[in-house]
Amino acid sequence: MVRSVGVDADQLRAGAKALKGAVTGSRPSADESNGFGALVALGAVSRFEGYWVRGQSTIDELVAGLGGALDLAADTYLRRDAADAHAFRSDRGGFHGF
Amino acid sequence: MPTRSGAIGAAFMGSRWADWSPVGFDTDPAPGDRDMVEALVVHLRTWSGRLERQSVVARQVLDTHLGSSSWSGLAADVFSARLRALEAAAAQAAARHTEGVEAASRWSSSMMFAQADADRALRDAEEALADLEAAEASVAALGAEQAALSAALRALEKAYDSREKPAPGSSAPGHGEVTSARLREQDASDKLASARFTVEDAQERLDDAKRRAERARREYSEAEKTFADALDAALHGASAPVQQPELQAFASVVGKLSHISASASVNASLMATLQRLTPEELAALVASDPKLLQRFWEHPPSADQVAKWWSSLGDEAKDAFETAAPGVLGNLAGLPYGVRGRCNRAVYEVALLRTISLTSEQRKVLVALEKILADPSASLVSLNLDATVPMVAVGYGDLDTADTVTWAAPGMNSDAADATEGWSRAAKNLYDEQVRFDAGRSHAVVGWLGYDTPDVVSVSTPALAQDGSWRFADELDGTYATRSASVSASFPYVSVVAHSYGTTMAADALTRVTHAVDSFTMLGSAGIDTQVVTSLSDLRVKQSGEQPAIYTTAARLDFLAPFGSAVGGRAEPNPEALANPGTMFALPVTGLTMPKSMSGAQSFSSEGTVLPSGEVLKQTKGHSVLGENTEGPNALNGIAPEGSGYFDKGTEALRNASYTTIGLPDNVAGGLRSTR
Repeated sequence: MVRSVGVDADQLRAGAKALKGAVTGSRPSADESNGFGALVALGAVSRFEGYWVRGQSTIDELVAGLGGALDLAADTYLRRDAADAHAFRSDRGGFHGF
Repeated sequence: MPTRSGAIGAAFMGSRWADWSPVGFDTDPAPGDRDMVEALVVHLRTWSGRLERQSVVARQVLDTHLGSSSWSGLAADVFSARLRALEAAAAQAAARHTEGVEAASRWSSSMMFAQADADRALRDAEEALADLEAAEASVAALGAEQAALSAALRALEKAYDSREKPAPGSSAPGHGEVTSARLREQDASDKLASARFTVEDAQERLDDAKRRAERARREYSEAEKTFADALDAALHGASAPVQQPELQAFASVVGKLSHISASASVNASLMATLQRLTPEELAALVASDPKLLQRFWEHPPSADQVAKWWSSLGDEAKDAFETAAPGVLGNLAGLPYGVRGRCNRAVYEVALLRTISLTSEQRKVLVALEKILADPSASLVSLNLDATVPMVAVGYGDLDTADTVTWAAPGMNSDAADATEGWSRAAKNLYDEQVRFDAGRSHAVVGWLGYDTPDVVSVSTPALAQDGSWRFADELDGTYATRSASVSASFPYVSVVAHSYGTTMAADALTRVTHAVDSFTMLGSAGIDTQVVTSLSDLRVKQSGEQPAIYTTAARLDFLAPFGSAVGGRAEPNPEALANPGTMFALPVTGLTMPKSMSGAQSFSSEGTVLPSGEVLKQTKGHSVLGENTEGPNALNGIAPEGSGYFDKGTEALRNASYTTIGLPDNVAGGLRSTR
């Protein structure tokens, strides 16, 4: 019996592609300059960069990782549907009516 | 790098090398490279745009590709929750970067103006200084010249005025000669005055330049501080770092959950989740979607299936699951109570470390538990601080081995925040009584605060009882399931005792259990919801002799219980309570409609008695579980005097309940009467 899977694997693939596209291109990198001002300004820029550089990478990694997870889910559904279809075909001969 | 007269375009911390001494500074009063600040603006704007785009893409994927028509089921729910969290995190990060852009842009302008002012001041100071030096030199030279001319003039004038005969070879000065000398001296004096004026003017210009340089420095510092404060204010909202293995585990989780049919119930999906995931994957799943813990609470997998799944695991896997997901396992009916206790302890101890982030209700539960868990016979059967209201269940005795297990359900105003201490004490009183009067067997009692209990308004409606009954039924089945999964374990005598609105909830639950319980005891019932229970025979309670083992008592001085039963339109299981003043007080509210009663239970006394042994059992003199003396208003005897509540030690109600809950109804003081 084929299950009601409630999945459009093509949509999952499209979603995965969109997510992966959001992490392409070069990542802007901070210029380690000391021309941002006096010590107060330099310290503030340094703290900002130090705090956010990890947060920027995390978002990038999550976007890419979730794109990968969506691809994996699409693969799983396709395999499952294929397995269900195979099982359905195999079962045909076993039905002899009431 | 901006330059100006005398300034050299090199940088040390943005300082523009120059001799700043003309304006009174050792170093640049407005250091920095505006081009670099502009580069910073571009850098932050680029990141802001990238993060904003990532947030928008996440939203578009959710709306366009992952709608319910494209993907449904637990995998879809889990993935979408994670993607929604990512969308919010990216938007938050973008907003913080935009704040950085705005701050840096303002700083760039401020720096430009401050540097221009400082540069102009230095240039003016240098010019003034040069003028000053020249003028001072001129004053010196002209002063000497003027002094010499003045002396010569005085000599001429003296000779001109003298009546003495000039020395041989010389002649007296003429009038014209003296006049000429006077003109030269006057001219020198004028030039000297002019030079002195130039000195004063140059000094004033120098002083003004210094003042302007100082003002530029001050404005620069203020703008710099504003810039730094704005950047520091944006240091929040970054997502916690995610390790690659965690992301891979999440992807694996989504893949595995994709095997679960979208048409499966939430309960079945969660069961399949437990069966399919490794401990590490379950941990990753909970970490990615903390709301999953509430799903497990609200839609628990079948206790029987949980018990079978657990017994199929090896010891190593069991340990790993305990470590990986204590928040899930601690509240899973069907697991051994020893496991649940350890898991809930772990959750409790973690909560103690984050009390600052907890609500006052959550903190009150933790404070109450600290005292309760000091009792070695106590264990945490369940703990859910993040439910709609905090929920908890405290067990006494060994629930995995006890010969009898009693589940105790409370009534109105018994949310865990306020009732953990009192209801646990009531449960302990019952437990102590059971142990004392049936020492030949082992006992366990659970004080269950696992539902959102009603207040004085909502107590008249059945909704909260119906909501709570599902989970209570699951817990009751769990007692059966966990023993049935153990080869060596014997089935205990399982009973339910409930108070007030708890009897409403428990009766509902007893229509929903898979496995019948051995007895059900009601104290001060607030009535049975006839929408769910049409007759006590609907309850899955075993027989005791010829009748179902359903017991009830209502204290004569408890006016509140019959009042609540009547106002709620529920059926009164204690027919004599229909004549109670509480019922009469309710008639104006019910439109003089006499409330229904529901027969089929066996009633016992809570009015106090003297036993043949001479022991005096106290009367219950109000509605409360534990009595307390109060000087304020006490409507309908809602609060029993100290020592005279249903669960107070030494009361007939507690003694009799201790017998009915362990299957010894024949020992009930005063005997049992069938209700009609």
